[in-house]
Amino acid sequence: MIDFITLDQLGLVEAAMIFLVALSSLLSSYRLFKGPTVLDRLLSYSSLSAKIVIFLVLESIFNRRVAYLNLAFIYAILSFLGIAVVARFVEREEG
Amino acid sequence: MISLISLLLIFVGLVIMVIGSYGIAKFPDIYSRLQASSAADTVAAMVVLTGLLLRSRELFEGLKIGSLILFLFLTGPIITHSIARAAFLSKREPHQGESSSDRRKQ
Repeated sequence: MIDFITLDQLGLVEAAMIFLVALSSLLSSYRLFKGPTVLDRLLSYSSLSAKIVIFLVLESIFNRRVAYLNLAFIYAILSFLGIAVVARFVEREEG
Repeated sequence: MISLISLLLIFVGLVIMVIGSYGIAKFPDIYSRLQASSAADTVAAMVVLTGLLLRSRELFEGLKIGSLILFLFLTGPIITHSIARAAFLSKREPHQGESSSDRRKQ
């Protein structure tokens, strides 16, 4: 059985986690560039902001940076407000 | 033991997130993209942050991560609902016609 604790101390586990976050944000930023309308880009942005929050909390736990946790919280609140406002605006614009 | 459980939770959540992002890139229609995004992202964020909650060292770290989980659990469906409402009110048609396996043959 693989000794996960040793791998953890080597930093390989964190590298694999960051690779998975980067892969998923690459996949959803494809829709950010390609997306036909504003709403597709907005959806891609909301997905990317969830990934950024997860990445910030990962950094704060694994590298002991306490400030990143507060940054993640503020980023989550601000991205929620921005997405809600832009969705409301688009709805009023086209509907 | 707790470290192993938290690693398992984090990797399961990240794999769910990759699958959801593949759905966002692949699906033909904004409603199906919204479905992939909302379900996968909310569950993935909650599972990953639960795994990270098990690793927190101080009390206030744990409290912050717990309230972040609660916040994402509340706001993910709200965002999805508002985007779907905007798409419906601006008269976006859902994708009709052939299934995805038919599209692959062309």
